[in-house]
Amino acid sequence: MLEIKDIYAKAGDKEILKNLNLSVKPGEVHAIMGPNGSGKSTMGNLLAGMPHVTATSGSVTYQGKDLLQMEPEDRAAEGVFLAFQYPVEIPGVNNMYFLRTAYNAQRKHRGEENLDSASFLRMVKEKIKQLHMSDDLLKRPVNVGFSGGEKKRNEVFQMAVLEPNLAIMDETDSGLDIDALRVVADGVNQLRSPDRSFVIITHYQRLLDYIEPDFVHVLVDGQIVKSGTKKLALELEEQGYGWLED
Amino acid sequence: MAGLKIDWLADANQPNSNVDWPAWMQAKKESALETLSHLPGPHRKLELWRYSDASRLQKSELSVTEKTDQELPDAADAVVITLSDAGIDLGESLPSWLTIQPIQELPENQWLDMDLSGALAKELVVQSLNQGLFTHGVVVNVTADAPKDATVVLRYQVNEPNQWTYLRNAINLAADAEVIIDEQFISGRINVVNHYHVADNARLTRHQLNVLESGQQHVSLQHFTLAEKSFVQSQNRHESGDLQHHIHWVDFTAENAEYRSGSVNKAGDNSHIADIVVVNHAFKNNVSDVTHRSLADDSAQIFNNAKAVVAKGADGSEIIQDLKNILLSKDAKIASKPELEVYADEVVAAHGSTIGTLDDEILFFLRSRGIGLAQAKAILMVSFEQEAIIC
Ligand SMILES: Nc1ncnc2c1ncn2[C@@H]1O[C@H](COP(=O)(O)OP(=O)(O)OP(=O)(O)O)[C@@H](O)[C@H]1O
Ligand SMILES: [Mg+2]
Repeated sequence: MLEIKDIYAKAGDKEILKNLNLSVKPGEVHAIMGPNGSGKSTMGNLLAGMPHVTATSGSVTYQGKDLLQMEPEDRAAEGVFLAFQYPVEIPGVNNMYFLRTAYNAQRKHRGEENLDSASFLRMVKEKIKQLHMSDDLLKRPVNVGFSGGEKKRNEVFQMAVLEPNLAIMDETDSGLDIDALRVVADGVNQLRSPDRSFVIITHYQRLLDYIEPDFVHVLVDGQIVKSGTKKLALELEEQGYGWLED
Repeated sequence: MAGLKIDWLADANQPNSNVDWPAWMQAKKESALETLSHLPGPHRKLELWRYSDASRLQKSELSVTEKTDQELPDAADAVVITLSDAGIDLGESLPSWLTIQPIQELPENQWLDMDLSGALAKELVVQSLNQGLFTHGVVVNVTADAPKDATVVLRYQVNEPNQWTYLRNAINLAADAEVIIDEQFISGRINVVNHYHVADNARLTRHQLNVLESGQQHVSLQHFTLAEKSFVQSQNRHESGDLQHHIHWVDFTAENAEYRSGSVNKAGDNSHIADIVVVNHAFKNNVSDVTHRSLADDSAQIFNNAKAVVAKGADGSEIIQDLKNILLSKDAKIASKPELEVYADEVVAAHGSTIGTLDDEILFFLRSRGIGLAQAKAILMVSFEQEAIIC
């Protein structure tokens, strides 16, 4: 599914990722933990194609293709999805309209017909019910006036509608109450399938009580310094990152 | 230097030339032309023409792209007044809350002179020329009996694309009247002056739709007088064309009235658009709230100017000027100028002006959801415009 090999990358002018390696197979869930500023979001942004994040060496292969050569919109249409750590607000653009535009743009890229608005509405209502979210979020402009938790839920909702193959979730659990945390976990668990993979960036092992990861990695100063199972997350929770840094 | 009249009269479209003007109106027209003939024509050194190439006004042949299948904007349930070469077409019979007369029947005491001797006379010559050359127009009177959503459409649809056609209208809202006036530019090379008189407690909602084909030109002056407790909200869309030069002039004539306007200016290719709003707070406790959102692409130029003058003693005035601009290309130019001239003591004023580019972060977000670059930009532009959509 995803093969990150010897990646060095800059955010702006600053070298952030330093020899990053990660291999994700179909159906796997990988959790990425690590101290603030270690490069977790930079990794997610690199995978999604953020313009100011550039790889200086190394390669990223996604479903056999050179991911770094692709435009962000093409990556999305091929199934890459990034749930943003800080979702942006788009005044004047209705959430539902935005999502239908995105959905149909992805279908078009794959040579599929547009879904008409009635069928789209039906599908969306179904998803929103599954996620136990209130549907008045749909009628509002994208993220405008949303609470922190609502913004995060909106990311999960977009993921549920777009059904990506590879979802990268950047601290989608931060700032959520227990109920919202369940919604996020449900969103992931409902999508979990043998051909879909997740990279979940988090600071808290409690999310991993709801979403059982196959692997846990620790990213420090731009590279993965330790990998293990869920047990590693518990150790980190108890001991912090200090013991890994030297 | 030759005055304006000499150059431009030859270019003026006079489809209505056998009108019997009342003597007083004929005298006004002649005197305006006489005064203007001594004033210099518009040029780049004038504040209001610095970003509009005035020499374009004199091009006699415009290369207008023909609209193939012209769709008129929707005007269901509205009274439509079409001003064309053929004169004035009122459509069906009029409702009882509305009377319409040709402009030559305007009572003399309702005439509003444009000041051709003041400091601004030179800046306003192009709009002022209308006073000497207007060939037709209407007086629209709306009574207080107008039902909710009562709508009058003024449609400018002149066939002559090369010569200038001068139109002049007076729109009067009686005390307590409430009406929607939609102005639609359809075709022609039009210089229009409208006087909106909004009486006590009356409410005017106005939409101006000026989406021009490439090569078209349009000049206007919209003059508003707002009486006690009256309310005006004005929505303007100026898009494309060769040259658009619009002035909105607002005079409060009593207290406790409110003027709100929202403008979207969108120019590409080599378009020049000027959108100028001048609000005179001559009395206490009036509110003016002016929002512009402008986007310039290619080598287009846009000039935004919101000016408020608060007279001595006009305390309690409230002024908002909010101008935001986006440059979509390296060659595009935008000048954006909020201006306050305050002689009163107690005034609440907020003004701001920014020029930037499309928000990269949002652009990336949209693309990361699968939306292509061009469409993502279009969505961002709509998002940006929304803040200036007020009614
Ligand atoms: N455009 C940029 N220019 C320069 N430095 C940047 C830029 N973007 C990010 N950085 C820096 O890169 C480093 C890594 O940032 P990143 O957001 O990837 O960290 P993170 O691991 O996600 O941290 P957190 O846990 O706080 O979210 C930080 O020091 C940050 O300040
Ligand atoms: Mg981060």
